[in-house]
Amino acid sequence: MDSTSDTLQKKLQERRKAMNITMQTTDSTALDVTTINNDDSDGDADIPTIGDEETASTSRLIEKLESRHDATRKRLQTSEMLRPQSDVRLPTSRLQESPRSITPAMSPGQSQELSRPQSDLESTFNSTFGTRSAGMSLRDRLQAKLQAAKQKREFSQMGEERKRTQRLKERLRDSSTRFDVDPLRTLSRPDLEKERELETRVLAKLQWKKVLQKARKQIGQPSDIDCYDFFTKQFEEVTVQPEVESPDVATTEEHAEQVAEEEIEQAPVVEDQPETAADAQDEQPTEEVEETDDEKKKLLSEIIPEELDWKLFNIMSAEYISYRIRLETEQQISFVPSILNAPSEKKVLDNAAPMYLEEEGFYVGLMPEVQIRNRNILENRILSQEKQDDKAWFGLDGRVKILPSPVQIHPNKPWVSGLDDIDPSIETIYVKAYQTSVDEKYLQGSQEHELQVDLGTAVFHHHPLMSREHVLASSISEMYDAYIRHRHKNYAVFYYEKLRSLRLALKTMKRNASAADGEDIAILGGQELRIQDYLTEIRRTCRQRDLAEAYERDLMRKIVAEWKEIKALRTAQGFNNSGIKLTVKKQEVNQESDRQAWMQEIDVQIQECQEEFNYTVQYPYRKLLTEYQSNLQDWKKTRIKLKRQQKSESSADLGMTEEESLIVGPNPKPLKPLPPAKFDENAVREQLINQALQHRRNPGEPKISLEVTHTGPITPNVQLPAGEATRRIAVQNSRLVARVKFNGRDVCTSEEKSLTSDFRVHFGQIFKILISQWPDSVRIQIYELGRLSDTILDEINLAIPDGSVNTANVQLFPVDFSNDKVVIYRNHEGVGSSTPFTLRSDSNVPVSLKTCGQLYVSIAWSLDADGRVLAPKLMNPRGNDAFDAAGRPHHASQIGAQQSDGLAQYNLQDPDLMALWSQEGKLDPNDPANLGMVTYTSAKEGFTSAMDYFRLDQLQQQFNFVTDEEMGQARRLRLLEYRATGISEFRNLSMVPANEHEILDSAFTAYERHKREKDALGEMGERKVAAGSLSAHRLEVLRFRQKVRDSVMRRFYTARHYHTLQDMVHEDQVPDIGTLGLKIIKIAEPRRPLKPVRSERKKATTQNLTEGSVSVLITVVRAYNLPIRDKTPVPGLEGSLSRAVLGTTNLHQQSQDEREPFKLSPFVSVSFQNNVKATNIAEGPNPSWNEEIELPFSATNNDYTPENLQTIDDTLFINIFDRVVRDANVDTRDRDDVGESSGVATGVVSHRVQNHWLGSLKIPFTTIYQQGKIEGTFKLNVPQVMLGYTPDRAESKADAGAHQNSSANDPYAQMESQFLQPTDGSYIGIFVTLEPQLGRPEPVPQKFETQEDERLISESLKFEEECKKKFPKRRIKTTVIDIKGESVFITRYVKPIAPPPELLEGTSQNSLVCAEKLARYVSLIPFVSDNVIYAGKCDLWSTCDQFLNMLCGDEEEHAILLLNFFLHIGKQAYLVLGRAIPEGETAYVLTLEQSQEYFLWNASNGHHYKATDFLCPLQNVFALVNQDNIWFNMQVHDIPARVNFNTNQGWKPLFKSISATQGLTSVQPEVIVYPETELSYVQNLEEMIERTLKEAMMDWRPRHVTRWNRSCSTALHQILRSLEIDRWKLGGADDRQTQSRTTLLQDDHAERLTRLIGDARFVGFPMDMPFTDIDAVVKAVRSTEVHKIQDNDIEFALGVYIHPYPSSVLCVWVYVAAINASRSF
Amino acid sequence: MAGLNPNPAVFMLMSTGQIESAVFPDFEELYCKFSFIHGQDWAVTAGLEEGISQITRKSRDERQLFVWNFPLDITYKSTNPFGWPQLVVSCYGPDAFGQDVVRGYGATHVPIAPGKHSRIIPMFVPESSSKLQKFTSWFLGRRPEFVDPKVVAQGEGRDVTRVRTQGHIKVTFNVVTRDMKKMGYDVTPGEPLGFDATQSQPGAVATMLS
Repeated sequence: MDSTSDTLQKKLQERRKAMNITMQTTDSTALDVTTINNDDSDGDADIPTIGDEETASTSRLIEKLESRHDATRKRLQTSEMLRPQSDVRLPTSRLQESPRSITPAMSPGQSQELSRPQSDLESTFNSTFGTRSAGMSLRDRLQAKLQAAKQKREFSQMGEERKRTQRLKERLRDSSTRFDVDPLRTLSRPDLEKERELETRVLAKLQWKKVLQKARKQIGQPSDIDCYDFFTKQFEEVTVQPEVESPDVATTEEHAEQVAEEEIEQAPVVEDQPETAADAQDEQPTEEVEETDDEKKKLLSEIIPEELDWKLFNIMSAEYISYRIRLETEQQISFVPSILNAPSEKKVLDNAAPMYLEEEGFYVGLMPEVQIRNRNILENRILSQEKQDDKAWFGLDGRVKILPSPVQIHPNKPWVSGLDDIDPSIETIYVKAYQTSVDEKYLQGSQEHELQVDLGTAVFHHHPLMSREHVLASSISEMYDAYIRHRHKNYAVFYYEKLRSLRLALKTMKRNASAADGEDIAILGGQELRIQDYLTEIRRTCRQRDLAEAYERDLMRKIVAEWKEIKALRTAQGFNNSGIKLTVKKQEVNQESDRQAWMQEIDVQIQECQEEFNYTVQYPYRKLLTEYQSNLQDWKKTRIKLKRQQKSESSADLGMTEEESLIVGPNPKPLKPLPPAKFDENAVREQLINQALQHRRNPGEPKISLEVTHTGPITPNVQLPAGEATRRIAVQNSRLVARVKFNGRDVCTSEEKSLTSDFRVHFGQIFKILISQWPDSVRIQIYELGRLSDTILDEINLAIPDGSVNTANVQLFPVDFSNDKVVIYRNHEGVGSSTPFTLRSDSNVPVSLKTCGQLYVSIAWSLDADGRVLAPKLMNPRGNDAFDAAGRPHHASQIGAQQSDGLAQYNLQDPDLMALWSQEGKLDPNDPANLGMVTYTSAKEGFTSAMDYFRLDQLQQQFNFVTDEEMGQARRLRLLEYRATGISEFRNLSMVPANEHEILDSAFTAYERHKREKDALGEMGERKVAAGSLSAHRLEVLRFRQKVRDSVMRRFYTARHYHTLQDMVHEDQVPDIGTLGLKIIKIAEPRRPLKPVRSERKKATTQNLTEGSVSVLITVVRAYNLPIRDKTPVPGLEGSLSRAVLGTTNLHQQSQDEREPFKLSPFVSVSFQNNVKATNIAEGPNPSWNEEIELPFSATNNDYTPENLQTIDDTLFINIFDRVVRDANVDTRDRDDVGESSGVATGVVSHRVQNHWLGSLKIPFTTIYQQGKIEGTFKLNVPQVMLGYTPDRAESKADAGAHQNSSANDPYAQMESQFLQPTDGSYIGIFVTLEPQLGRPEPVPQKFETQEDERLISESLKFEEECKKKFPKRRIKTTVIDIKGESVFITRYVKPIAPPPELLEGTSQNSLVCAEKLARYVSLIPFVSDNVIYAGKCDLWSTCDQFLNMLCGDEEEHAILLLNFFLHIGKQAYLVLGRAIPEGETAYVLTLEQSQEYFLWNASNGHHYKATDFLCPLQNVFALVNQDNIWFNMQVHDIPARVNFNTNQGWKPLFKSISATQGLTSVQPEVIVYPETELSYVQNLEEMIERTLKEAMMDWRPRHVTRWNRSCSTALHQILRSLEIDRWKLGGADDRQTQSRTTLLQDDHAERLTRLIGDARFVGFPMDMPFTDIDAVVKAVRSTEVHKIQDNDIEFALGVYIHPYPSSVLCVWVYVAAINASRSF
Repeated sequence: MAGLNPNPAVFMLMSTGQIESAVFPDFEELYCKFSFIHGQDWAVTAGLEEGISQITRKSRDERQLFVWNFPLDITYKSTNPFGWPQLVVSCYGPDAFGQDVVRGYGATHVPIAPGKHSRIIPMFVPESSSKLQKFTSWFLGRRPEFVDPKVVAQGEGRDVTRVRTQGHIKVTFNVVTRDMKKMGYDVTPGEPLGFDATQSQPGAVATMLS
């Protein structure tokens, strides 16, 4: 061991010596390096670190060596720290091979040392990148970086070493070797040089890069980094490598970059390959530079310019590819479409020939101009793609489709984009509508419009005065005309040409076909069809040609025959009557050539026939044959197969035969098609020749033409026989005249013209008709003048020409006329007309001809001097048939010569014929000129509508996924729909079930019933009339009412949805001084005023209302002047009653009735909506209750919105009853005794309580609702006659009378009389309101259209404003809304109107009775509030006739009618607008009676009051109206009793002077017709009401027997009749007597009843009411509660009488009575 | 619960939420009223239909928020989506004279789709019809108001009004529906948003949502 160590030591020493020398040199280089490194700053930081690091590793080595080399260690100086480092390098490498004794040598102290370099490293690292980077050269930085990376790596390895010491050693070795190499290798001189060079290159490159980058940045291209990042960057590693100690870098991107770059650098380093490391340096700097861009800028700009050229580019020789090669390569990749026309067969469908539509006569529109070469290029381009569907790009003609096909099946309207700039031609212009009454017939404007009718010649084809020769001549000339026409059209040539062209076409086609034939037979399909078409066309043309020729020949033959006839006739009669002459011209032809041509033609035809045969018969046969053959093959195969099967299996199973038969069964042997008959050429030839011979000019026959002239000599009169002479004279005497009628009126008459000998009349006149009306018809009448009278020959209608036809372009045209009149001449040769005569000498068959002929005439619009057409402007499209306007001009223009005839045959007005014609004429469907026609006809063919209009929802049908019916059946949808449309039954429906099945059909029954009723009303329900509930007039009434209602509803629908700002927004008005002042005063107001003002109750909002939360409060205060029980009983009847009453009262009301035995015990019962409540019983005729009754209110559908509440038509009934308590045990015993004895004996007294109805008051709910509260004293509706009661206290009344008469001076009496004056009826004081108060409906904005003068309207508005300002509580309206929804001045409604004359009969017009009668009549017209009818929309005023038509109305209508009646009978009367109870705002009628008293009339119930009457329901008077003016009440008081009705004082008139209103004509009709009411209907109705009432009564008494007393019923009927009729008879003219009238009536009544019924207890009363419907009557009867009488032996009597007033106004009287026919009395 | 009904007669809509906050730049104090408006086929089964909030003051930071955090909680049953409930909110606050003045009306439909939704409701008030009126209404503290706050939930009659906005409020809803799909009303969005896509490309989601 020692020896080895010694040798080693020696060797080391030697080595060290040698190294010392080398070290000096290396030192210098190392120093060099350091100087370079530490250019500007802390270089020592760098060196010591390295040193330290090295010491770390060295010290370990030294430790080992120390033991042996003490001497050496002592020599080591701290200043020469580097030396030992390099000294030990080699030995360490050797040491590696030595045993691993180093490992245990590792002490904790060493590890501490190890940790120190780490921090040093860090600092170096940081400083390298952080502080030092600013001033460093690139190379420094690179180096530093590299080093840092290495160190880092080392460091991380060292970290590992701590754990795994084994690896540390290896690492140490690695690192040491690397440190060896690195400084030496990289920093060696040549390397440095190289590096410098590299550096400059890099810099240059960088400069470029930067420029490039800048440029890229500007363009927006990604920079290199981005690109590089894109491909190389691994984003997730950014987060994965947090332990990499990143220096302070600016951005993470840079950081990531660095990491990436370091990795790349590290890889070679680890491998210990310095070359690659250097390479890596070479390659990488581009990326590194990025981070220092900014700093480098200056430097680079200095360096670059001179070094740029050689550093950046590699110079190479230019690459050259020869032109030829380039072309070749280009050709390989590029395609140049040819500019030559592509072969058309490629472009059309396989093997089809191009088809040119225009050549086939179809319309082809203009294509846009495209250069041919461009088109070819496009075509070739498409073709080169060689796809299957490429053909779709080409049209039938083999050209590329430039435009989409303009042909559309459905017409549509192009969308107009941009509404602002609409083409002025389609802009809609508002034209004010004008009335279409009489004016419409007159032309607009003042221009002159002139029609010209040109009468030419009338030519008679037959005339009664014609001789036989004439008849023949005329027929010749007729035929000749046809002949000429025919020739003129030159059919022969036309068809010949057509034939030729067709054949030519066929030939070419066949050529094509044969070319294709060789290739494929199947292709032939399309071709074949076309050839077939052509062949048939040819054949048809042939036939037409033949026919045309035959026709001509036929005509010629006939003409010649007739001519022969004439000649025969002429010779027979010995004179010539007509100048007709026939010349026959013959044109010889070359026989040979003609024959040849003829034969050739035949041959051609035969050939064609054969071909056609081939196509029609042979081809199908051949096809069938091939099919057959293939089928046969199949069949044979299956057969063989089967046989084989059979053979193999026959032995096995016998059942197989069956199977076989089964198999064979469906596959029978195919039948061979029958071969068609062979084409028999000879037969065909024969047929053709025959045809030709028959129809056509035979070969060799000369061409013949005829000429008819009228130039022949006519035998002069002298030589004639007598008959002919007289005929001629008659002809000469016959004179004709033509009259032109315009719009049915004669306008012109021609001169008289005589008939010429050839039966022509030359009128030769032109009539100019200056028109001012629309021309409807222009007719020409031809008259034959006779001696006594003219006979009309015929009337010719001329069509009105449209505006384009004027005198310059019109021509005479013939119009046929004829006459069927029988004319027979006995005295001369004239053949007569419509009478048989023998024409031909040879035949005995008589001929009958009627007069006929043609008139040559024209009609056109005149031209004025400037050549302007004098036609009205709108002449053209007068007809509403759009087809006419669109279709006709077009097709008229395109009709060819040949078709015009065909067209003329059809009546153009008939669309069906039109369609037929267009089909036959084969209109070109593509031609836009035919647009109208084609659309029209196609519409005829299949489309549902003609669609000459634009539809907005044209796709609606396609999108309807169910039909409307199915939709209608969906119950849920129906429900929703009904609800949305606001149908009352469904309006407030909530939670409509989501599922169909949850809705029952019953949900609709009520609605459907109503609807049915409505419909039935609409269609005049016959059955109902039969049933008798409605007369025709009544029905009319209902229908009218419904109609008005519907229209009003519709009109107000929009008004309801019209909102003003006030409806939407609460906004305080700008206060004026007054309100401001009030505000200020308010502040100073006392908190608790001594006289508090009643404040409004809070209104409940509709949302919070539910069923049961609303109720009607009625406070019954007291009643006045009730009728009292009769004190003086009528013997018999009344006696029993009163005795009974007496008895009962005696029993129970002892003390009271002692004094007032005959008074009553009344109570009030209030009923509303099927709820009844009653007050307690009070006493006496002037009872006082002071009770509050609360009745619940429920709205329909639970809808508490004002709209709905308004329409509720429930009524509050307030009835007063007298309670009569009677002993129940009425029997054979004496009542008094029994009562007492039973009371004594049993202690039980049974009583029978009976309520006797005394009177009632009805208040409609709408009134309560709208008024909020109703308070006051009202007159009770008391039956006219009440048996057992006297209407008022006789004594008080007598007193009153006495006072009035006698004691005018006595103040006490006066007072008394004043107090007692209103004893004319019974009154009740009540207060009604709703709890809680409901919101009142907002009035509909009263802005309506008006036809009134605007000046007047504004004046009236001003008037209203002024009035309102003065008296804000007094409402005034000057205009009201009529049922058309227009505002009309009220004054227009006032006009004297005659009442039905029946009402005026028998009374003097001045009497009060007359007035009462009228009032009664008016009051009998049912009262219905407008709110109910029009669903609260508004208050409409209808005129009197409308009112009578509807037979219902509210206050205004009644008042107006009454006022008008009053005015008619000469009363001074006004309409009073005011407020009354209970109606609220209302209208009364004010009359000035002769006694200078003012009377106020309530027209709706017929009552009248003196103006001074304080119980008059009219509380406030606002305005007076008559036909001239409206006066507003300017007086302090508006209570009628305190108002001065003299309009001169205290009234403010609307119109200052009467003259202002002169223009205001009345809206009322002149006369109202009052139709008689049908008596039969009235009788029916009477019976019906009676029946219904009886049934109802029985229904109401389910537990009792209801017996009817018949005799009593008839008696009641009579009484009722007298009640109505006698009503007016009893009273005199004096109004004083009216008061006593009722008493008189009563007495009379009682008397009669006694007479009729005799001794019986009787309770009952008559009621009268206007008739509305039966239900109302039933309700009224029920409210009297007669049916509640429950006596066992009670009998009822019912009398119904209807008094018919004119105009179906009916007064229903019902007398209900209960009779106790007990025998006990 | 009665379990799942395969054939429900009604569907239910439950909405909870909050009237969270408001931004009204010019005012200091605000309170709000809310009410739910619904159609005829809807019925409230639970919860409050109307309510009124506390008065809140503007926050003293740069956000200048009025915060109420006023809870909404309502449950409807319905047979018909027509008349889908709307939340009508109206804000009031005292003006310079201490008068209670309306500061804004606004309405929004309760979100149709289940889930959490947040709504910003712009609020507006009717304008005075003239300058003079504007002055007097300011002076008297009687600004124009809608006759019924509920008109903002309806279309009818709005054409006659002129309004101006003053700010907006933020409302959040949490909506739960039941049985709607069974009755044929599918209100959930067709495709649930893929969460993978949203995570890797936040921008894409933003564009989808916006």
